[in-house]
Amino acid sequence: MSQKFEGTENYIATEDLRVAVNAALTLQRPLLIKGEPGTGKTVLAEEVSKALDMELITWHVKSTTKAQQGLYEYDAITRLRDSQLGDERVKDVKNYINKGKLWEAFEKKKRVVLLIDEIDKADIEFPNDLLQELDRMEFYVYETGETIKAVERPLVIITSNNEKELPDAFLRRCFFHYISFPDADTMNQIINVHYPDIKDRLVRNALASFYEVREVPGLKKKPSTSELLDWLKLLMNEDIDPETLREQDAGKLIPPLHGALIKNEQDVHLFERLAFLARRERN
Amino acid sequence: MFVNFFHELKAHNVPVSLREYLSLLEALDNDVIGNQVEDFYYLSKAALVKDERNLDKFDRVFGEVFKGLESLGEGDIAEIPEEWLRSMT
Repeated sequence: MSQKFEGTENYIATEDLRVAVNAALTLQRPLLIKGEPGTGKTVLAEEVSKALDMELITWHVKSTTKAQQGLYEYDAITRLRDSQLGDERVKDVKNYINKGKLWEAFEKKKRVVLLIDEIDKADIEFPNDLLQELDRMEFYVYETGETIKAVERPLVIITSNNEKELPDAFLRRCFFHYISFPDADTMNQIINVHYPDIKDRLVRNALASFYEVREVPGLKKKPSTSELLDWLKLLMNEDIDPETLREQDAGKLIPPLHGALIKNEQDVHLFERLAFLARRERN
Repeated sequence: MFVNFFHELKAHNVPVSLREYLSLLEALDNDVIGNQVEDFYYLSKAALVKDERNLDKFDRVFGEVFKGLESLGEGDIAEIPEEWLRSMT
């Protein structure tokens, strides 16, 4: 496998992320991505598929998702109805097997990226149920007696928000990457990629207040990269003067258009209280 | 190769298994990375650590086991007579 992932023009991949993706790609093992919400876990899979020119198949996992649904589902109810209507199709069970995302990925002639998004949403048995299938890249269809084997082993990317612990046996088979929150330098690069023409001063001041906001103790939901990008977009649209961001005068502790950064009512209250305290100290 | 590193990780309560260690070696065998120490650090981290809570422990062990590796800059390499090297082969 000579293909190597190097990041794309829309996505800043740190060195360790690049190594992890390439290891998973070469050894054909799943890559498990964890990190704070909003640090670009799902986007990573999209960018890998773009950079390597591979099709992306996404399987969104919910709390009700069962492992079997990724393989196939046997639609017995439609078959029963068809049999009562005397439909010819009823004789072949194959007509009632609905292919799942894994099957779809396995039968592609060209290697694809299979994204299993938010695997921690499902119950604890879910990853265990997929162990064999992901290891050997094959599974057995009981209804038809055939074995489905991957034509080209897909690159499996799995994301987790850490809501549940994943079983050890599953973890051992994966490569792991933790997307840590980007430092100020990487953040500057990310912003440059998304809004190349944004005013330098605005970015510097915005970043300063952004990291200030993140450091306020007791915040329920700290703003993350995607919120910062939204906020910058707003600041650009409103054409806010960079200097207003710097102002630390009475009542200005809350940054302008803070709705994009702070999503939680209690957090807004916390900020207002802090602003009030700051004003009182000055008087 | 790197067995000492593996045992040190175990001794410091980083849960590593033989399977993970073998996949690290497999990755090295397949030239996933070049010859830089940084890349080896990233690769072994991706292969051996599966929980962000263990990242700190891993960093400490890595630093101890491979102490001094990164300080081998261009200027620091001493001039070694060629006969010495030949006598080693």
